[in-house]
Amino acid sequence: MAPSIRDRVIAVIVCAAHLSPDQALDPSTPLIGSGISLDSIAVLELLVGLEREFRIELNPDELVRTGALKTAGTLAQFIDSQVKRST
Amino acid sequence: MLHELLAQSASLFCGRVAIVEGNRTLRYGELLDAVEAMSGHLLEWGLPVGETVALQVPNSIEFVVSLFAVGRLGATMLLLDPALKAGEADDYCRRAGAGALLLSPETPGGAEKGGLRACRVPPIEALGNAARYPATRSLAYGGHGPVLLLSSGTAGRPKAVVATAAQVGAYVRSCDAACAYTQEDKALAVLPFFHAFGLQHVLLPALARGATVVVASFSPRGTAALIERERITVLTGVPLMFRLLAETEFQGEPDFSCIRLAISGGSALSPAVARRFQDKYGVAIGQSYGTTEAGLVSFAPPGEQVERPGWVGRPYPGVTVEIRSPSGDLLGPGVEGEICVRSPASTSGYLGEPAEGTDTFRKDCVGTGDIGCSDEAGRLFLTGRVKPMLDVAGKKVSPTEVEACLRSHPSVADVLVVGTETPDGDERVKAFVVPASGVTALELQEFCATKLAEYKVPRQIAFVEDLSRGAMGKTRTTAPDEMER
Repeated sequence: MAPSIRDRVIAVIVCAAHLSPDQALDPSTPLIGSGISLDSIAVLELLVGLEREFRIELNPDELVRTGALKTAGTLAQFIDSQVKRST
Repeated sequence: MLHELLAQSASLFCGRVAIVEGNRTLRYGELLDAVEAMSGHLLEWGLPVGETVALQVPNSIEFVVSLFAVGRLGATMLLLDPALKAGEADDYCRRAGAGALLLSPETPGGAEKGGLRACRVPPIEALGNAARYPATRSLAYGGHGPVLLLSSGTAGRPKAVVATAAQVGAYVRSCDAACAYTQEDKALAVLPFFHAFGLQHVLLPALARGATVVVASFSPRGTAALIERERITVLTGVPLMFRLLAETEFQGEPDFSCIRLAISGGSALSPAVARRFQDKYGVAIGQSYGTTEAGLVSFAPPGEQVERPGWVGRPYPGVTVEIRSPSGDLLGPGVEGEICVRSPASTSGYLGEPAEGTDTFRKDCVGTGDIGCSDEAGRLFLTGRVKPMLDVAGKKVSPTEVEACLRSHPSVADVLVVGTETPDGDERVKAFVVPASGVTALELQEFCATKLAEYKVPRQIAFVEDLSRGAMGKTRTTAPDEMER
């Protein structure tokens, strides 16, 4: 079975933020402000990683404005909607 | 130096555009007026003239106006990273004896709690005309105090480096020798102005020559679009920016033919990234190497390709580079040692420490903390570091500071912080933790983020039984036995 968008988003977060592969990351994990507390560099790497993984274009302002970066789960929802929009 | 620079540029280039930020544009004459008005506003607010004033404002027109206003009022200015947490900013301010802190409306507050007076810098549109502030006109300009720049120090907690007006001027002239900004240039300012590289390699030399400084935050697509739209001629960035620009796929490749000079600095640029960027955009990247303490050291012009890793060019005019052994002896070509510098742009020392006789500031030179060697042709190569200092996309992180933070967590018995290399050759913070009680990596990351700027928060936390080499496996150059050097 193909991995879900959520699992793929979490894999990109782990890779882009250079987290330990064994660090538990679930949909409720906050990404910025608390939780894994990504800095601006990691957010940019995440953005580029997501664009490559899902073959979409992302607008960083939109990610911030919509609160998509709040948790791994909200980011997965946002990516899901972007993927559907582009197909 | 700052006020003289602006006054001269305002007289020479009055009607030309000095700064662009989004849809806001400020001409040189308007910039000088805004500085006079901001000076007046700060005087009315009660800025302690003659004392140290901290500035924690992100890149913006307001940063530039506040910087020159504080200089105009003769104060010493401490430039703080907006990413610093209130506790970190407060610590810097206390140690620098700052009497006031200028914040942007968006900067999270908190420093006020430490008893420091804080002023939210208003948008310049709210200031009104300079004529509204007679107090500024009656205040004679007597030169500005030093600029205090942040440094992660060579060990222990972060420090402030004292750069006098003359040293800032010498740095800007060095940069001018390499960049040769003119009034036809549009310089993209995505590097932070609180940092020596962004301030003295982009903002000040560009303004000194009447160029237009385009202020923006970096994102690969946003920056690429801006370069095309504004016809940017000078692009200065850290290697990570060039890598992300090279990795981003566009539907139609952006046209970067407007760029006459692309310069990377802040950390070593890998030849692979330089090649990928050039293949994609047809623009070769030069390198400028320097440290906050030593000033600009060497320059590698864009066209000159050297395949040997670590190549950072030849010394800037007026800069003497020496390779020295740990005991201070001069070493010849091809022999590795610490890169030491004698330069008019070298700073005076760390605030609150002796001017010389420290590990970094020695009697006759400033040590960079970098290991390298030169060849017979005078080319300089970086090969390593003397002290463990991590480099997160150009921002230096002291492992000791991160260790101290983690050690203050009740569930941490012992800790070692090292750099972990990413597949792209970048570095991130990693902590080996001996737990005293049950705790997760996420809990420790959250704890660190309440006290440290996010870029210092360990990306990886490995729990080990002890800090012996066997327990930690293979680490980078900062394993315990090597840290004792």
